[in-house]
Amino acid sequence: MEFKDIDKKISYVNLRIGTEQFAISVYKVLEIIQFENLTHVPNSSDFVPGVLNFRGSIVPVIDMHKRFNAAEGDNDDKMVIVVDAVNKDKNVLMGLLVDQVTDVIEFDYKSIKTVPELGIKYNPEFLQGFIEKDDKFIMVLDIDRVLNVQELSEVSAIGDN
Amino acid sequence: MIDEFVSGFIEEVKDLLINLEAGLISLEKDPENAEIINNIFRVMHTLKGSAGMLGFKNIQDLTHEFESLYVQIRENNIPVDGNIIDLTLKGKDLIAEMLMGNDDPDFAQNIIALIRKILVHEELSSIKELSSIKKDTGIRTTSDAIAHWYVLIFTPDMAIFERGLDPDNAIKNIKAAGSTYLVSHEKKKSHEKKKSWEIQKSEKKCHTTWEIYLCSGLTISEVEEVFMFYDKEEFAVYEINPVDLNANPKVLIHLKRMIKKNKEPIIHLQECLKQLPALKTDTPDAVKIDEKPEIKAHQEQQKQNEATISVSSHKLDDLMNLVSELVTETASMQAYTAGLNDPRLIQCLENIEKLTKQFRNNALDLRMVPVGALFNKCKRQVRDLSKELNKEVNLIIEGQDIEIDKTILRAIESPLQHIVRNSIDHGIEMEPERIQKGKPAEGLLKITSFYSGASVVIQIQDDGRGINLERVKECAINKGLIKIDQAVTKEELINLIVEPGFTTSENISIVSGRGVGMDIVKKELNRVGGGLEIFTEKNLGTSITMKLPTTLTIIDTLIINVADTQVLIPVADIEYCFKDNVDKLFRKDHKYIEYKNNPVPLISLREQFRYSASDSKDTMVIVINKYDRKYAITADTIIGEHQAVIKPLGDLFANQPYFSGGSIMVDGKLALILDTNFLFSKASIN
Repeated sequence: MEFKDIDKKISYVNLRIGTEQFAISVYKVLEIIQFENLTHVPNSSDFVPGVLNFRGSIVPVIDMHKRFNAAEGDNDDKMVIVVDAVNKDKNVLMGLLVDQVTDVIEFDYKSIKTVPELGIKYNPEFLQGFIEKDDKFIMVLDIDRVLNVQELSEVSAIGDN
Repeated sequence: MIDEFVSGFIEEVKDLLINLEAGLISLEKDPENAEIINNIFRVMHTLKGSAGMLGFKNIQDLTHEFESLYVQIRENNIPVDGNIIDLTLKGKDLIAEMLMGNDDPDFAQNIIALIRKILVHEELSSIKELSSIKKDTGIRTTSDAIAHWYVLIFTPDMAIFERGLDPDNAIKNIKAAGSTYLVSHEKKKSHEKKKSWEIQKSEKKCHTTWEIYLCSGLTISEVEEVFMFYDKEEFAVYEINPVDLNANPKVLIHLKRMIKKNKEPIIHLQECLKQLPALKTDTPDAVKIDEKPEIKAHQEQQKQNEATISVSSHKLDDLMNLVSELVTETASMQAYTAGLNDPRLIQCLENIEKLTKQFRNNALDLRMVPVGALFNKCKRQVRDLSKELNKEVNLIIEGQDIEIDKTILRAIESPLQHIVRNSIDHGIEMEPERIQKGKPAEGLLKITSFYSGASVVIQIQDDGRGINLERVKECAINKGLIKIDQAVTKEELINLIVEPGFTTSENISIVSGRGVGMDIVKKELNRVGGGLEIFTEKNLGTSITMKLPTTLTIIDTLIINVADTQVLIPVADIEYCFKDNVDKLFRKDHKYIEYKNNPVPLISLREQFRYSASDSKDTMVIVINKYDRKYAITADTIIGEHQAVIKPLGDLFANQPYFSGGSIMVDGKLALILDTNFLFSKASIN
C-alpha cells in the first residue's frame, strides 16, 4: 500500500552495510534474526551465500555487501533481515545479510530527498532517496527493486557456468 | 429432519451413480456378464424406491423404465449392445442433473421413448439421435457449487488494532473467496483531514468502513466465518439476489446509512454489482434457481464440504509448518535431555515425537488425493470420444495410487481432458490408415503417473500419427509467428503449439474446439508451478508429459554428505550403495564403474558442486536407476534415511538445475534434494 500522506512519520529499520547506513520501511520487514545456520547451495552465485529455514519455509539470503559493492565487515554478529518483497505481483520472502541493525528511526515521506545521479557506487535505482539525520546520510532502500528476482537469478545462472 | 433424509439420499445416489457408470463401462467390454447386469438392475431399483419416497418423481419415472429394460436384459431377452450402454450412460447423466434440480423433461421423454423402442425390439439406428437433442458437451466438469452474491458491511471498531486484529486480513480472506469489489468510507471529523489507511494502521486507529461486494461459491456462514474474531456490530453479511435487488430490504436500509450522498441505495447497489469482475475460473458461472429448497440446503452442505477443503488449504499450510517446527523442537529437546538420563522423561519425549509425526502425516494426508480419481473420469471420456469419432481406443492406466495435492489435481483436470481429446482426435488414426501402417487396429492411449525426483509426472502417450510438424510450420508461417525461410528446429516447432490461437485443423472439430487448447494447458500448469513437455515422432505417436510440483509431498530420502552440504536422494531412485577406494574409482579418464558386468557412468558430486577433492581415501558410491537408465554418484558419507517434506527453493533458484527442492531436517537445518533426472545429462557427456 502506498501511503499518500507525506507528513506522517513512518518507521524504518536503520541498518549498516559496509560503511554506509540504509533504511528499510518496517512494513516490509518480517523479522530480524542472527546470521547462522545458513545452508549453502552449490553452484549458486556469490550474491546468494545460501538459504535458511524461516518459519518452515526456505528463504534465500542475499549478501547485501555484494549487491552494494561494499566491503564486508568482519564482525561476528551480522544480522539477517527477513523481508517481504513484491516481485511481479507475487510476495517473495528474502533474507538480507547486513553488517548491523542499529535502530528504528522515524521520518516522514517528504523528508526523503532525491539521490544525485553521480557519486554513489551502486545502482541509484535501488534507492527511494536519502535522508539526513544527525549529520549523517541514510539511504532509503526501494527493497522491491533491490531484490529483483529476475536479476538475482540471472546472476545465479551465470554462477553455474 | 426431511433435510437429513434428502442429504442422505443424495449422497447415496451419488455413490450409486459412480457405481453405475463404472459398471456400464465394464459391461461394454463384457456384455454377457450376469453379475454386472444384475448390479445395474439393482441400482435402478434402489434409485426408483428412494426417489419415489422423497418426491423426485422425474428420477422415479426414468429409473422405472430402465428397471424394466434391465429385467429383460437379465432374462436374456434383449442382448446388451453399444446403443443400450450409451442410452443408460446418458440416463445416468440425466439422473445426476435431476438430482441437482436441473430437470430436462424433454430429454427424459426422449430417453424413455428409446427404451420403449428397445423393449419392443424395434431397431434403433443409433443413439446419435439422442445426442442431437441435447447439446452434448462431453465431460462437463460438474460442480456442485453455485454462485452467491453478497453485500458485506464491515465496520471495525476504532480500537480494532488493539485487539490484535488487522482488517486487511479479513479483507484479504474475503477477496480470496471469489470476485470482489470494495468501496471504502473514511470517517472523519469535519475539521480534520482524511487519514490514509497506512496512517490509520500506524496510529492504530481505524476510521474506515467498507462495503464489500462479493460473488462467491461459499455459503453465508462460511463468509461470516471470516469475521470470526469480530464483534457482531462490526460486520454484516447480506445475501442478495442480483436480479431482484429489492428482495432483501435490510441491505438497502443498512446501505442507506453508510453511503453519504443522498443516493438511492438500489442504484448504488446496481452500480457496485456492475463493478464485480467476472467470476474467477474456479467458481462456476451457472446460477440455477432451485425449486427444491432441501436440495439447495444439501448443496450448501456439499459446497461447505467442497469449499472447506479449499479454504483450509491455507490453514493446512500453516498447520504443516507449525507441526514441522514442533518436530524439530522435539528433536532438540531430546538431544538436550539425553544427557539427563531420566527414563521417564525420555519415554515421554518419545511418545511426543511419535504423536507429532503422526500429526504431521495426517495433516499432509488431508490434502492428498490419488490421481486415480482423475484417471477414472478419463475412462468415460475416452469411451465417449471413441464412439463419437469412430475409433477403437485401448486405454491403459498406470500409477493410480500416486497422490497429489487436491488443489493441483483440480487444476490439471481440464488440461488432462484436453490432451486426451487431442490424442484421440488428432493423434490416433482411423482404422484403415492404422492397418495400412502396420499398426494394430485399436489405437493405444496410455496414461501413467509416477514420481520423478520431487515431482509427480503424468504422462499421456498415444501411438498415433504424431504431431504433423509440417502443418505446424505452415500454420505458424500463416499466422506470422515465423518467417518463410526461417530455420526452425523440431523443438521450436513443438513449442509453437502452445502459442495462443494456434490450430492446424481446418475443420474446427467440435471435439477439440478451436486452438485455444494447448496454450491454456500450459498456462494452467504454470499456474500451479508445473511444466509441460511434448515429444512426438511421425507415425510413431506423441507423448505429453505434465510435471507437477508436489510442494507438500513427502518422499523417502537417503541423506548424504558432499563436503559441507547435506544432500537428499529419493530412495525410489537408488538401486545400490557401496564403499570404494577413491583412487581406484577415478584413475581412468573415462569415468565409469563396473556394475553387474556393465559399465555405468560415474559422476563425482564433489566435482559437480565445485568442491575440492576430499582427503579421504574412501568414498561412497550410489547407483541411481531411473526407468532402467543408470548412473553412479560419489558422496563422502551416507548418514541415514529421512522422510522429507519437500519445500520449494524459490524463484531465485529457478535456473539452478541440480536440486529440485529442499527439506527441513530434524535439527532445523536445510538439506537439498538432488534432481536425479538432471544428472543424466551430465552422465551422458562422459
